[in-house]
Amino acid sequence: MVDYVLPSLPTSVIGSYPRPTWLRRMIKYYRMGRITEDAVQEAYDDAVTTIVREQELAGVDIPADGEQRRDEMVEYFAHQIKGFKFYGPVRVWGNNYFNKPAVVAKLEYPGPMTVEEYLFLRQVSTRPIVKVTITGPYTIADWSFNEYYPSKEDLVKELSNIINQELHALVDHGAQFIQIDEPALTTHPDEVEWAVDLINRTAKGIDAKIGLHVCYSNYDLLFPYIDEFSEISQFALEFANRGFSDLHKLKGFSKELGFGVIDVHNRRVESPEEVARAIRKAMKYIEPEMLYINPDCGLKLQPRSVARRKLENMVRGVLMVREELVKRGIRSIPFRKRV
Amino acid sequence: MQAFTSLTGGFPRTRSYADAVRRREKGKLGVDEFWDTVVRETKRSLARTARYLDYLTDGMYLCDDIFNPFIKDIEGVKRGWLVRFYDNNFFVRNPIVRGKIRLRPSPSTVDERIRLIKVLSKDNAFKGKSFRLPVPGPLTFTDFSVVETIDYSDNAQLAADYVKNVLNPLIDYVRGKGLVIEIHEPSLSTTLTGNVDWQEVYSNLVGDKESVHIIQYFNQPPLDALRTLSSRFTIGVDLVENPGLLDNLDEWLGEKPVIQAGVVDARNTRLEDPGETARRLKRLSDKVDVIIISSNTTLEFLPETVAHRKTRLLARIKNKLVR
Repeated sequence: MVDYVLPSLPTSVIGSYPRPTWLRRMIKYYRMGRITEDAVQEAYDDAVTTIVREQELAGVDIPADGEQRRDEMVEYFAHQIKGFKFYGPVRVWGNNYFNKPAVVAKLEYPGPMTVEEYLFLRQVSTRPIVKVTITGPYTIADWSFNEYYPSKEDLVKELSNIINQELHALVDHGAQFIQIDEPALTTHPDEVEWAVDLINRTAKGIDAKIGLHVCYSNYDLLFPYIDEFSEISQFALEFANRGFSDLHKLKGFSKELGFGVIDVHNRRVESPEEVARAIRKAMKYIEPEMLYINPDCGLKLQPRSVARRKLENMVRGVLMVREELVKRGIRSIPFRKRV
Repeated sequence: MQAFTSLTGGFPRTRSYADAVRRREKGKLGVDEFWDTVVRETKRSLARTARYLDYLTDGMYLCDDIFNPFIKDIEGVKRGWLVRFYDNNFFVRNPIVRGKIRLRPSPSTVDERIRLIKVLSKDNAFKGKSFRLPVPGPLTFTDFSVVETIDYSDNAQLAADYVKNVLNPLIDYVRGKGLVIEIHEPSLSTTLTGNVDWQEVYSNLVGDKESVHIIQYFNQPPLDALRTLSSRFTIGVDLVENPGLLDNLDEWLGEKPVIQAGVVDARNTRLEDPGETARRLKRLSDKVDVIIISSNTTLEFLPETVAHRKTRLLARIKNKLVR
């Protein structure tokens, strides 16, 4: 079903975006008890308004809210889903920590977790399509301790039911493009097979375009399963960080590709020409009608000014290729909910 | 049968320590002030665990991971980029090999860790405790290394040189300081190293059961490797991930083995039942003269509060085992 028409090579973001300095300060004050809940919520709203405007000014076609209200992608949901407990942070690398949750009881859906976020994003964006991101069941399970469920598969199954309810809630409120984030998907090769089934179950019956974001992963383990993701229409994958080395593996790719052209772990701002070159390479394997353009991953670890310039150059690079596509008679593509 | 308890690898950093590292990285904390924090926080954290443990480590408080900053002490090696540590949501900076490898004559990062251990040893909380110094094993080092030199055309040569030029002098050096070397060797179980023959690599390793503890974890290693190595060194096995090892002890226990039994899961917050764990261990303790009870891998995968509880658990398992 086609609802909207988008310019060819629609540009989007993966999700997170650096928080403005003043928001970080407000969050700190709130945690110190110096400002009220209302004040910090106002700051979150203002930050989303600013960040969405920033993305739109950069020329992004499908913005997201920059996950301004989320400290961390698993923690945010674990704080809301009933049955999680937090014992304290664990180190992930160097001196960087993650507040890893533990599942200590049967997990229960707490009611809508991201609907308010979506509604606010919808309100402040001028674009017809916006993207909502939600952490997938496998990654929530993989980045949690499991004290309750007999197996990890049982835990993922429970989480897939919960996330499915959340996706239904989002669609009920008008969401049209939802991205499930599963960076952990290929971490345990022997679990990929059942994880694919459970991700399909997560997205079952959802009347929206469902994207799946998998980054910094072994795509050799992922690609053989692409056709089996019956409920997933788009894969948002990271390619810039790996120097676009795996592009040939996209031959025969049957879904839409959200093509990662910006390295989010490097402060160097890619030139528009580099972006255009990368897109042309990808088009050797993927039809332009099946190609969306985005950074590799969320930009939250970059300074805000760098993040913005990266998005601007990403869009400039896309514009260069769009001109070439116009000569081939390709000006727009349909927004497809299902591919 | 004698039973001991041990800390393996690192211990989760305290929040104060993590804050100090951040301030140090931003240049807001001087060298001396930072060292004072290192001593204070390590002492505070490990003193709480020491009463439950016979073997301690430096908690790896001065380390980012098993490779860093240790690889700074190796000539021919540079610090690389972040890569996943096996199947964990934990990342290490890999070694980049750019020339012939050799332990530096003055291994400054090892010296700093030994200096910390010496400070701890003087404290009453640590009286009578043995200290181990965790470092990567040859197969693990080779697995994670990116070779950018023609000096090593194959992994076997790299692993052999790591033993000959890095580990052996380090074992002598550490032994001279009254410490035990704790060799982390999860890659004993993997095939990533391809053409590397564990037997050949380890045939040249010096030391004995007292001075060298080789700790293997995560995937199950070849049983013949365990049998051979446990005849010469103390061997740590991961009985959380590989409980089946208790079913075929005769196939992998070497001569007069000293076995570190990794029975407490360092990758899950759920607390084990000490009675049941001791009952499981009985099969092993019946066959060995010395058993060291520990977590299966480093407790750094856990939040600090849970790591303390798991350490207490080790002592309770030991008590039930020897009772």
